[in-house]
Order: sequence, then structure tokens, then C-alpha cells
Amino acid sequence: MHFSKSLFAALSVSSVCAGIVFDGEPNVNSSAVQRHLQDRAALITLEKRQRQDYAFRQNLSAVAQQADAIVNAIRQYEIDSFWRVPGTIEDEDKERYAGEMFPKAKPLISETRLWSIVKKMPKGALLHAHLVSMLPYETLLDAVMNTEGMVVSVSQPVTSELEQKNATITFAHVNHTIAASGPAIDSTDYVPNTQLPVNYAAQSFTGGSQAFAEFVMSKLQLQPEESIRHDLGVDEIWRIFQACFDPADSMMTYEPVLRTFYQKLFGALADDGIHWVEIRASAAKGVLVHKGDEDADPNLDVYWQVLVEELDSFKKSDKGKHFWGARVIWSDIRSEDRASLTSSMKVALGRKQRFPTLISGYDLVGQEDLGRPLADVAPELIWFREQAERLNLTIPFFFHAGETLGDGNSTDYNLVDAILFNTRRIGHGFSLYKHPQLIDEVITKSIMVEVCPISNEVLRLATDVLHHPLPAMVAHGIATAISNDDPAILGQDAAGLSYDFYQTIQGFDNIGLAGLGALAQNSVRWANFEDQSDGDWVRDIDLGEHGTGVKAQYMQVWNQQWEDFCQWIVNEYGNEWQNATTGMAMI
Amino acid sequence: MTQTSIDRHLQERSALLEREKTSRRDHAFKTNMSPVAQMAAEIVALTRQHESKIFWTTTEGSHSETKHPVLFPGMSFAVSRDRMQRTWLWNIVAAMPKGCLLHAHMEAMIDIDWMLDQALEIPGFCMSSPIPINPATTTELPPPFEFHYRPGRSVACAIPSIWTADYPPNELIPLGQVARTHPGGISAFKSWAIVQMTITKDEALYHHHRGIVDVWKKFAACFRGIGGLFYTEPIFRRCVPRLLQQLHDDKIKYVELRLVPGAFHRTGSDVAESDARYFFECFAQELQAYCASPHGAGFWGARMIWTALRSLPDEAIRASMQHCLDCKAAYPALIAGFDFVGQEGLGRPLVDLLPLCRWFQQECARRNLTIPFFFHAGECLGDGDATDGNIVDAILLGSRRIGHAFSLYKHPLLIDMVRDRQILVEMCPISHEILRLTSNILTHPMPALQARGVAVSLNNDDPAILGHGGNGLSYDFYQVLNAFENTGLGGVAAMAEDSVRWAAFEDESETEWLAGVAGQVGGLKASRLAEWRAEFESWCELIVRQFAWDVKGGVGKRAG
Repeated sequence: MHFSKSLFAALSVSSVCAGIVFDGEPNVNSSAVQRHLQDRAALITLEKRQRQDYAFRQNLSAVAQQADAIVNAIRQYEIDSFWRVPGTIEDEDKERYAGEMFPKAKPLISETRLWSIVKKMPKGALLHAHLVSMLPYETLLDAVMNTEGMVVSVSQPVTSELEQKNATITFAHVNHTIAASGPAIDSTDYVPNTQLPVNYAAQSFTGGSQAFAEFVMSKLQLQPEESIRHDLGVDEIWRIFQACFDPADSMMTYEPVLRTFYQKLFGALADDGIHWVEIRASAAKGVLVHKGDEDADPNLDVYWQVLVEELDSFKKSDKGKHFWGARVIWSDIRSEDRASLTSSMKVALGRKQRFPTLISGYDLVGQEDLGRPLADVAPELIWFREQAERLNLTIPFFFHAGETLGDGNSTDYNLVDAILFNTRRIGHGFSLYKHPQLIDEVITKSIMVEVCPISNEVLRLATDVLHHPLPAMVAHGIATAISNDDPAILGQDAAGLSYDFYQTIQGFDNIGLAGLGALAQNSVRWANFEDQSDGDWVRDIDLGEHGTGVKAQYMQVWNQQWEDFCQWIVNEYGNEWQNATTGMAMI
Repeated sequence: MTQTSIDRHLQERSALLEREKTSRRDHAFKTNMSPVAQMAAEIVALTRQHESKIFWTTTEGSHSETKHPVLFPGMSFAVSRDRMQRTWLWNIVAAMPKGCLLHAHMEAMIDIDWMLDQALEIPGFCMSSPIPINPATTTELPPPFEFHYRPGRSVACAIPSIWTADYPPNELIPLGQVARTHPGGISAFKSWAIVQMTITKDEALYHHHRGIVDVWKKFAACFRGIGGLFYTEPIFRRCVPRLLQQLHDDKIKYVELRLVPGAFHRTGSDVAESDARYFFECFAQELQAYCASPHGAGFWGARMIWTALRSLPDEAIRASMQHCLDCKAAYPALIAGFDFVGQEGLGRPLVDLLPLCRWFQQECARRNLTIPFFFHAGECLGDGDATDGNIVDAILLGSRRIGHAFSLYKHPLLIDMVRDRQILVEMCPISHEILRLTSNILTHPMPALQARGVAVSLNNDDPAILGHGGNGLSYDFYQVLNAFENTGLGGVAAMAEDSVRWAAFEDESETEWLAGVAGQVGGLKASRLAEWRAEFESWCELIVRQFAWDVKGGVGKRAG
């Protein structure tokens, strides 16, 4: 950095003390101390100039500056007065502090003022989330319970806690009558894999519907006591994590349930101040059972047709009239072999032809450490890109990469391949901060990193939000936005971004409201609203709100929402926290 | 056409990776390795890979109901410590020439059980507590007991035991009596005391959710117990040769010991010395005796970094600084530098201590004493808070090395400054894990600094308290070598070499210091660097001779 070189020269004098005349006593007014303080301030200012959020901060309106100061004061007050509770001799587990592990903090977060503020914030776009785990399962289970013909089965009777842990649970729709009778799933007489009507299964479960729901939820969500066992490592939690998807998948194969799911999902996102979503999803096998049926329709389009219809109908609803929309990033499983991956890619290309507006891009998913590295998948990816070009389809990559703790292992180097494959964004990029050269590439190529703080914590990459490398990314100038990944499984248990936003602003002094605003604005700037060539994509990112296209228009909308939000903060909290803004120009 | 695209991709890929390696701190070292060293590096890489798969990975179906069913490379130190010693990689690391230990607190380096044995054997040690101690309680925060050296004190044996409710608060009880009256006897007393004065395995493993402040409460309490034993001439004199021998056995040639000079008792004296001169006298004698002994042959020596508690008020810190200056004048060869210690997040930030620091520098100049700073800074998780800001001040105050600098990786500009101003970062990976900055070695940000060209050395910080289970650096070196693909033999060797480069063997001006770090020809540092390099080559030869893989035989078989 050229400016830092000249700074070194300017500073080098003051760090050498020899020869300075002293007065015999430590003195804050001595020239050495004063010079140090000046250098210190200059250095900190200089460092902030490299930050990715620097431009956003420079352009804050007077109202936004006030709101920023107020929120900083509230945050600090809550760190000291709400979060800091020491453990006691009798109960060391009482110890609590700002930034502590999410499963511990979650029940307390909603008691804070910072939460009320974050909840109201306009959050722009949700760019990294996996369809099946986007909506709290209570909502989905509720839909299942209220849908006629839904049945449930388990792989073994679940009479003990261990059996409950080991059993797999599957939902389905049947079009014939199944008797509401016979052994409950938690009775020793239950014959494995026998389908029971869900309502009967719930009522006959020991402890009734409530206990049944708790059992089902235990198969769908990571439990707090599992989440905090960081000593057991990444692979262990991934085994539990991945097992949660199957039962959830089985609930969403029935069309009426799926339709309800979308309405609830979009509604919940809109409620949380999200206007746009890019969903990672795949239905390569086209599993959709129509209303009244029990076999899947082999037509591979119907799954996406349902999404298109539900999105349209949501956007026409009262709640959805300001919702910008949704697209899908086609996601195949990275552990698949060449043959099945290629056949799935063909399905993806076919769907892109049929649903060009809906399908936005392509990605590979599943545990990165154990799946095939991108270098190994290179032949398939290059083939895919060539096919897309041949068919004149725009289906860019949005790769997961570097969701790992390694340094120099094959997962870590997925970052290299993702960059070389012109990925437009990187999912997670958790290990990117260790690679100066790749950081430069990512910045030069305007690649944004989709950061999922709670996911990274619960899946044991970061012990808690304080251990997250997000600050290093922002400080190095990498564009990032906050996403929630799999909120239904990972413990947010809410569809929106508020918890991840809260954790981010809570964790780091250098973020603050302005930093959080910059992250939200980034999400709009890097959203893939429409098919664009690589050139147009980068141009619109650069132009931002000053462009002429859809992106500029949405950025202008978000900017206005941000101003309104900041004004609301000043109105709501300005009086109580006026000390925070003393000396600032009042509006 | 597809094949061409694939080839091009792979070419670009290796070019990019190659570019990235050139900015690493260990790049020069790795590219200049001899053919034997390169062969040794390959052997180490293969060994590591092999052991990751067969030794550190849970095989299918081996899950059990035990508390720790899962194995993975890089797993928590508290559960991998004993297991790692059964690996080939451990044998290789144990034999490695490790250069210098630059960051360790002397009080926290003495094995607690050994120290208790000395205190039980040497007449005159007592224990007291402000409250009676219930030996059965399992609370994690130890009762505030203390040890005292009172050889001249006659003791009434009728005082109720410290373990009973009618113990008179703060009454000094002879240690032997305390131990014998423990309900489980002497060995139970020792086990009890060890738990009070170390971070236990459970605390290290299962309590990360309670955070840093919680573990530091226990950590600080450990020091309180240790002080009464360590700062006594009879125990201290035994500590020095034993400690140096342990380090020497682990292929460490030189150590800089951080120390808060405490109230020191001469042999036979109930009353503490009024200053630290006699303490340094004892240290000088023991150090000299060790180096002159057959065991000490080849050992380069030891110096002290004077440390003051950062939480103290101005007056107390000023007194400590004055004391340091006076001792430096009396024992110039022993005192290498100055530092502040204690939990950084709760103590005073450097910016607050600035007038004192600048005053100290001026006093050094006036009295013509060379006492550079070797500050702790950024031993924290924050980003932009006061503790994080300590890094800025450490740099501006001319710190020659920085202890921990854990949060440095978040600050691109400061990284550049640390690198360009030739400041080395003293990393303490196991300490960071046990004190909850990382949950295991894999989550350590060290690779980010190495990749940016920052010089790093490995250190053990407080091995007796943190559960290292032995003095030396093999554990920390093993952890780092095992965790990161990008490090390898060349990487850890470069860190060891840097520990020699950045050692403060003797008083030097700023210019002399920087020349030594840069590797100038001639002088003490140059000759020690040469000595280390020769040892490194022998080590590589040893690896090639003893650990070579039978490549044809495939993984799992060894030659010889």
C-alpha cells in the first residue's frame, strides 16, 4: 500500500526515544507522549481507509451518523450492563458475556434494545441459504399436521433416548386410508417403517402431541448441547447436521405442504426486512407429489413451476407487494461421482432453459472437507460452462469455497479454483483470510464473500462470533454480506437474518451500525437480479445506485429504507441516548 | 477443447499458488533448503499425512458412549497430548533443534507436583487461608489459600486443621501438617493442590462456552498459590538448573524468562528481601553453575524480561520500573527487557500506560541502560477495542517483539508495519487454546500472519499451569506441524531459526539489533545462527536415516 510506506517514514522518528529531553516524571503532556498519540490517531485513521465499508461510512448522512453513535452507545451499555454477568462459585455456568456462544446467547438476545433495532433494519438480500432449512420446522410441521393424508414412519421403535437418536423419521402423503390404530412409534410393538397418520402418531406418542413434536424437532435441529461441544470437531457435527435434511426433505415433497412452505417463507423474510432472496436448491430428481397423489410426478418442471406460482402469488399479496423476488442457485451434491453429477448438470441446464428468470446460477454443496475438491470436479465444470455457452444460457458460478479450518489442504484451495472459474460470489470463504494473494484476486475481480456467522460457529469453524474472521475480511477490503445458511437446523429458528446481523454487530467494535449497514447494502449490490454478462455484472456492481439497471433501482430503494431506519432510531432512542450524539450537528 | 481448458485451468492454478507462496515468511528458508533437508521435508509431509489418516481419524463404527469418542487431526490439546507421543511425528519433533524459547513466564514453568514435593521436604513452609477449606468441594475457583516460607517460626500444633470449620482464618499451618491432616493423606493433598494450581482437563475441554474472563479467574488464582513456593531461595535455587535442563533436553539452547519479581525469601529468613537484587544474585549463580556443568555444555544461556502487572496504578508501576532500572544497573547481563503482564482485556491498555512507558525510555537513555520493550499485545478476540489497540502502541513504542499479537491478523496495515519494522510475533498456540482464544489448533490464525511474511516463533507461555505436561516446546511444535498443510518441516524450522534471530542475547542498540535480525555476518548472533543451522542439517540427516519411508512399499511401511 503506497500510503503506508510514507507513513512509516513519518512515524519512524517518534519510536526512537534516545536523545529526547525529559523532565524526570511520567507526563502525559511530554512531547514524546503527544507525538505518540498523534501517530496513533493517524495510523488508526489510515487503517480504516482500507476497509471495505470505508466508502459507505464516508457517505453517511448526518442522521445516519447520529444513529450510528446512538447504536454504539446502546451496544456498549448492554455489553457492560446486560451481558457481563460473572459466574458464581456454586454455578460457574452462570458466566455470561457479550459474544458468547450463540446457543447460550439466543434466549437473551431478544431482551436487548440492540435486538429491537436490528430486527427493524432493512436487510436487503439474503444471498446464501439452502431451501430445505430456511423456515423454522415448527411451521413446517404444523403444515404437515394440518394436511390431510400425511403419514409418518420411523426406522425403529423409539422407546428410549438412544433409539430416538438412532432412528430415522420419514414423512409422506398417501392417497388411501391408513387406519389410525396400532402400536405407537414409541411402543416396542411398533413394526419398523410402518406408516401411521401423523395426527394419530402424535396423539399415541407417550406425552401426546407436544412430546411427539419435540421428538420430531430433535431429528431436525442441532441441539444446543451438541452445538457447544466444539471439542468434538467439524466432522462430528456435520454427521448430525446432514442427517437433519432427509426428514425435512420428505415433508416438502407434497405439493400442498410445499406451497404453504413458500408462502410462510416469503412472508417471514419480508417481515424481517429482506426484499430479495437467492435460494440454493436442487430438485434433480424432481420429487413432487401432487395434491391427492402419493407418487412423484416424473415431470422435472413441476417442482419449479410451484415455486414460480407461489412467488407470483406472494408478490401480489399485501405483505409481498414490496418484495423484489427470488431466484434459485442450482446446487448439486459435491460428493457425487462424474456420471451422476453430469446427469444432474444436464437437468440443471434443461431447467435453466425452461425457467430462465428463476434459475440464477450454479453451485456444489455438502460438506466441503469430505466432498470432491473443485480441482477434481474441473472437467465437469468446464464441460458445464461450455454447454451453457453453446445453449446461450447465462448460469454463472456461486461456489462454496474455503468452508474449512485447513491451511493449504484441498478444501482450502477450492478458493483458488472458485476464483479461476470466475465465481461471482464465494459461499463462506472462511479460510480466505489466510491468503494474501487470493484476497487481492477476490478484491480485483469484485467477488463478494457470503459470510454465515452463526452457521460457521455452530458447525465449529469459529468457537463463537468473537472468533470469526469477518473483521479481517472487512479490514482487508473484501466485500462481504451476512447470510444465515440453514437457520431451521442451526438454531436461529427464524427465517430472517436478524440473529446473524445481531451477532455481527454485537461481536466487533469495528463494525457498528454503519458497518452493518454497509454489509446490508453489499447484499443488494451483489445480488444477481437478472442474467448478465460478466462485464455487465461487474459494471453494475461498480456503478451501484448510480447505474441505470434493476440493481441501481433496488439500491436506491434500499438507501432510502436505510435513511428512514436511521431516522427512526434517532426518533426512538435519540432522547434517551443524547449523550452519545453530543457535539454532533443536530438535524 | 475441454482438455485444453482443463490444462489451462491447472496451469493458472499452480501459478497462483506459487505466487502466494512467495510472500510467506518461510519462503526463503524453504527455497534454500539442502537436498537432505528437502528429503526430510518430504518424509515429514508423508508421515503427517499418513498419521492423520490412520492415527487421528475415527474409524467407522468405533463410536462409543464415552465422553470422547471422536478423533481428528488437530483435536483439542487436552485430549491429544498423551496420544501424540505415540506418533512418529512426535519422535521427529522431539529431536528437532528448537532454537530459543522467547515467551514463557518463569513462575508458571515449574511443575507443580515437583514444587510441592520440595516444599514438603524443605523445612519452614506453611499454608494459610482466609477461610477454612472443605477438601471435598468441587468448585472450580480455588479457595484463596497461600503458601509461606517461615523457617524461624515455632508452631503450636494444637491449632485446628485448615480442613475443619474451626480453623482460625489466616493462621499459618506447617505444610507437612496441612498435608497429613488432609482427609485423604499426603498424596490426596497433593492431588488437591495440583487441581487448584493448574487448568484442569475438564476446564480446558468442556468450558469454552464460559469464555476468556472465566478461565483467567482460575489462571490468575494458580499464580497466587505458586508465588509462596517459587519466591524462596531454597526452592528457587533448585528450580533453575532443573528448568534449564528440561529445556536443554528438548533441544532448546536459550531462554528469555518473563518474571514479576516477587517478595523473595533468603534461606532461613522469615522476612522477605527489600528488593530483587538477591533474587538476581541467586539466578546468576545458578545459571552460571548450570552452564559450567557437564549438562550445561552447549547451552547458550538465559535472560530475564522484567514484567509489571498491567492492572496496577501509576505509582506501583513506576516503582516497579524504577526497581527494574536499578536491578538492570546491577545485573546488566541478566535483564533483557521490560513488559507488562496480566489479563490484557481487564488490565490497563498501553495507551493508558504511555506516559510511564515514555518516561521509562527516557530514564533508560539517561542512565545509559538498554532495556527494550517486549510487549504483550492483542492477546484478545476483539476487533477495535482497547486491547486490540495495544498492538498499535506496542509498534509505536518500538517493541522488538510482540507477545501473542493474536488479533493482529485483522489489521492489514499493522501487519505490514510489524513485518517491515522487523518485529517478531511470539506465538503460544497451546496457551491460546487453553485460555480460550482458539477452540483447537486448527482455528488458530497463525497461518494468516505467516502468509503475509510476518516472522513468528513458537512458545509455551505457562506450561506448568496450562497442562503441557512437560517443559519445552515439542508440544507446541507438534501441534503446529500437525495442523497446517502449508507449514511443513521448512515452516517449523523457519520459526525455530527466527527464534534465534530475534533472541536478545546481549544488550544492543536499535541499529545493532536490526542488523542482527537481518542476519549480519559476525558477532554472537551470527555464530549462534550458524550453530543452529548445523544442528538443523544434522536433524534432517537423522530424519532421512531413521524415518525414511519405503516408498515402493507404499504407505504404512518404513525402511529399516
